[in-house]
Amino acid sequence: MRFRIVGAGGLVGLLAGTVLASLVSTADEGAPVCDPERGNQVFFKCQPCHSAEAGGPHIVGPNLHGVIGRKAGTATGFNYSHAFREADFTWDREKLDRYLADPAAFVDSNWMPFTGLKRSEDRQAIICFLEDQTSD
Amino acid sequence: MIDEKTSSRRGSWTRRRFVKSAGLGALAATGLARGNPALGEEQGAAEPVETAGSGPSPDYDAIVLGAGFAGVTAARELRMKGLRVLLLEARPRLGGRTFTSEVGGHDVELGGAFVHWSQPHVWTEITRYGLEIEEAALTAPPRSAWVTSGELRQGSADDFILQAFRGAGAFFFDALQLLPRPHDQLFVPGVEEVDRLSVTDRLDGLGLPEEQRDILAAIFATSCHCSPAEASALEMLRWYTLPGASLQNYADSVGRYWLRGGTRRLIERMLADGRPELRLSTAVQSVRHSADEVVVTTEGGETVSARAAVVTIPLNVLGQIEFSPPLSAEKRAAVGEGHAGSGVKLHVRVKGDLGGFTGLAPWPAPLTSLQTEFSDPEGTVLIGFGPSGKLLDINDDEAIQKAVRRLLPEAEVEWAVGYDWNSDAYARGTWCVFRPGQLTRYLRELQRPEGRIFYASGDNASGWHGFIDGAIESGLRASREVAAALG
Repeated sequence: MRFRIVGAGGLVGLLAGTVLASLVSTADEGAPVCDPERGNQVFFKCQPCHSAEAGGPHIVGPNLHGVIGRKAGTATGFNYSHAFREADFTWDREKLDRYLADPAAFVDSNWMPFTGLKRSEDRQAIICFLEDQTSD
Repeated sequence: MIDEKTSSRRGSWTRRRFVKSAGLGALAATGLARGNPALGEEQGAAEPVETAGSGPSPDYDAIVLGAGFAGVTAARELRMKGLRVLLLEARPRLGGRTFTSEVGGHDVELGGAFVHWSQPHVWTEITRYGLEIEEAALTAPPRSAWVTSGELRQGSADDFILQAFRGAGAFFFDALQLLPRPHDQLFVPGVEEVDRLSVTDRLDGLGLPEEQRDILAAIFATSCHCSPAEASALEMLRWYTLPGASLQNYADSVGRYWLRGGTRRLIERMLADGRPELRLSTAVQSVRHSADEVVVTTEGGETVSARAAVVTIPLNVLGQIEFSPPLSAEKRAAVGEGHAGSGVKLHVRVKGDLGGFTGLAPWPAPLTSLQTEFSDPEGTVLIGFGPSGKLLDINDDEAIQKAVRRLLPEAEVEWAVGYDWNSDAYARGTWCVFRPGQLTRYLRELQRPEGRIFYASGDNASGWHGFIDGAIESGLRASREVAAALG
């Protein structure tokens, strides 16, 4: 019983999150509060597989330094999944937000084992952190 | 069973060509992998690629699918017998369902980690390579907390350990009669009857006082990594008898000691010893075999042939590879059901030095166990296990804080990290725990070679299946079978 309630809440939350994300991204271009410190903390979740340091390694996933503005699937020296080799877009804030919310839905068949950050503020914090890294 | 189309296609791909096409990406990914400098060297040190033999002889003696502990063991053993071995791995790293990485400057084991001297195969490797173990800050923990009847109780470890031992005495009363030889779980006729029961069935039948029941249910939900209603009671009897039929040894074997430098250090040593030809980031699409040879086709479309193959793919993803002729009907049935291990593992850092702490809560708590890994004056890193990704989103820090506070009401979570094995396309689950009936119905079949295909995996070990030890055991068995078959 409890199981079902949690499951249903998750689904509703996911839908609400998606709607909210699209509202945020259309309503305030570049306006959200940026807190790289908080972003760094959320980025701990990504750290086992991704470095964001300049000159840092590819781990299980590609190095994310300078990812914003980079064409998807083109970090030099990283062996991408077929899904990303075929991808034809450039990463920006809005695309990263959608990807981080639900990676499998945004880039079909990519194999990043990550189910997504359901909270908009967590995604914004990471995007802000990645922007901050890039500007270093 | 190789049709003409396949044969001619294979003919167009000599070993040299395969290696050339697959090598670059793998080398790049390997050499750059964090903390894997040795791996890069080993790759460089591997013997030069030989030219494919003339005529129809296969490219390799054996192809091993999967570079977790089962695959690396099998590859090493076959290389030691002087065979030509190709090791294929879908991910850009070694380790399978073990994965040592770094977070905040600390090594973390995101997957399988725990080892113990009651696990003969992994302990042999620890001795062989001179590795050391480290242990959780568990010795005489000053603080414990457990949930019973929906309420949190706090006290000394002795308070809950006493309850746990009383409950365990009832749950395991006939364990040694049922599993007198724990590495041969089908030895006693009639063990099927216990295997048919779930852990919950057996618990419910004991009429234990609620507190004892809740503490055991928490231990079992953590061990099964699923709802105890989904796991066979025989699995918990196995965990109890394997380390010598003692609850203390059970706890110590499955959650107390890990390798200094991580599982990564061990598997790299094993690989360096065997020096098989390794291709990372090379997923396999199909395996075709005939009386003469095995032909493996990768997702990239390359084909490579061998006299035998060792398949170490986890049970829950074995169905993604096309076998021709197909897997036996029983193997397919087991693959269709899958094993039950599907929970979460988290490393959580909370503010303040908590020292040693152990917390337990029964299903359906989002975290059924929480224990100190290490602490410093500013904070404490806890390892938490939960029985289902549906009960806890490991990427949601607020949900994690709530889950942690059920056991540590004042906790302030700084960060939390887990790896989503359930959504990993090459795992689709965590450690193998069989559902009711599966062990007696499928275990022997899952080990049984078919033609030139041999099966190894931590999922189908005779003893410690679901553990690094079991993976190594299965790799030893499969390599012995391959060597015997190849003569």
